Amino acid sequence: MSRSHPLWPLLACLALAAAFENWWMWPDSGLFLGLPVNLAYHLGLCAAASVVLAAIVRWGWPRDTGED
Amino acid sequence: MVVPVLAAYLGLVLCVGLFGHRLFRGTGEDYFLASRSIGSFILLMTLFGTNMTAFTILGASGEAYRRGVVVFALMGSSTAIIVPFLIYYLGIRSWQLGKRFGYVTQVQLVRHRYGSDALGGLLFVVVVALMLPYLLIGVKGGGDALAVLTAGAGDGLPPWVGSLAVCAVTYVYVSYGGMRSTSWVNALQTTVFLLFGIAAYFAVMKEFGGLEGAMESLRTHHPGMADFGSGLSAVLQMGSFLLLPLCTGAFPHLYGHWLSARSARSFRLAIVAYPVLVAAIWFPSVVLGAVGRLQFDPPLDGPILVKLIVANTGEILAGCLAAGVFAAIMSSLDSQILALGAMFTQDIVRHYGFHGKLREERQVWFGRLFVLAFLALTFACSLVASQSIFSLGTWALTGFAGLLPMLAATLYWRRATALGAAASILTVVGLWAFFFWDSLSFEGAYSIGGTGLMPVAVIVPLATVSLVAVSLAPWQGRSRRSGPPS
Repeated sequence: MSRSHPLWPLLACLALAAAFENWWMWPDSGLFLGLPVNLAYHLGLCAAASVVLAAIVRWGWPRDTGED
Repeated sequence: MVVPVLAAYLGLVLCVGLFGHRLFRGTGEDYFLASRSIGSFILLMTLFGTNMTAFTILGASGEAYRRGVVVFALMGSSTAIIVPFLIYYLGIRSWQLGKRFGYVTQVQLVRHRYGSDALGGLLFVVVVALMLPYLLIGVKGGGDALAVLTAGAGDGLPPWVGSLAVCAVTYVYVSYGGMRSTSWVNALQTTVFLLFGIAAYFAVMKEFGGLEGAMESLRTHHPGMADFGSGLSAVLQMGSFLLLPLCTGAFPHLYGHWLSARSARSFRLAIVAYPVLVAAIWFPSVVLGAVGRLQFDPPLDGPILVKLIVANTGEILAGCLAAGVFAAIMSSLDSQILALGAMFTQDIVRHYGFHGKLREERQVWFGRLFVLAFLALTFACSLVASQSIFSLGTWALTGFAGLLPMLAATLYWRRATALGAAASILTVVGLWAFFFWDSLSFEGAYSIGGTGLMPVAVIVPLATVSLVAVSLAPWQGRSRRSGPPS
């Protein structure tokens, strides 16, 4: 996105956005671990987003923040 | 019991807010930005609390009652994915430039970047116009929630009491302690509505035989509420809702919180923890709303969450819910009011009237006076506003999302020009007005032509196209500027 940011966090963001559209599962009203399967999927997506963001903070931090 | 619990909570909020004043340094930068000293934890809690409104607690459950668990994806996980990336890309960059050039508001950034007073004025007008309904919803929501809760508990307070309480308490700690008090109180309020949301979840779900039993019943009796729908309309709607959280990147109150950070490192915790906190507050709200369908048939005569708690738990928890709703409302209202005070003081009074020579103490007093006037206006409007004002919430978010391409380009795209930025803003204004006018003759939840596609999915791309096309137009010649401040 800019010279200070690596490209891969943007790709990670797009991948999460693509995973958000899990249209092939939407008509399924079955349960998974006691939750509607789509609700469980999106809870998992939130957890996955947090893990991805932790990786971005660790390895993809902007270079010119003037703090290091 | 609702009123004593709520009064105790408001007293605690005031104590924390007034304590923040003890560190006040008497400068404009300290009042509006806490001298850019907010650390990681408070920044996380205040960013999250500011972005979570009464809709998170009452609106999400109400929508889940009507539509089912899909609401978690539409409003919860979409926010969890998009907002941390906005903090990563826009928050850190805004903080850097704000610290370097002394910005307090977005309008200052835009004026400096493009060297255009008119563009700054245009942005000011659009942002204030979009903020008004957003503020009104919070104030009116507080009054309505308290009225329903106290009616259920037998006290029966009129709505204006709750609205006045929200305005009065917020005014005291915002005007007294500025950004520092606001951030501290937001941390408290975020904790409160997280804890009370989770407590309400467990107390109510116990009456339904636990999560698994409730979900099995929901699937059996209302199968459409346990799936996410199907067809092109559902795809278009989900795609639209993924764009709506872009509004967060254009909120003036979030911009103020970004600038208040102590360092770029302070953003790290907020970026990582944001999705988890979103899930922690949206999951109980949505599940309770959906499960409410098992106990109450439509139409409802009040918020489903309030009805569930009054019917299944004691009055103390009802009081705690009232405190949680007030916490969600005030944690947004305080930041919004403070941001508007900063804009009025910096972008109008200081910029036009005093040409940058307004003394520090005067800046603070202008900010306080504006906060008082604006809250009084909002309260007065809440007395006459009808319930239809709530439908303006999504429209306000749509307008802010449309401003995001211009603000992102201001921070990153060197070839963006003042004319391009103005074209982008005017595109948003024009399309927003057109779709809003079109929605007036639409039955039910509006989408373009009834396809499921929401206006935000058209406004954001076209705002981007107009920004790029006009910025790159050859006829601008030498008026083109060399790029963002760096």
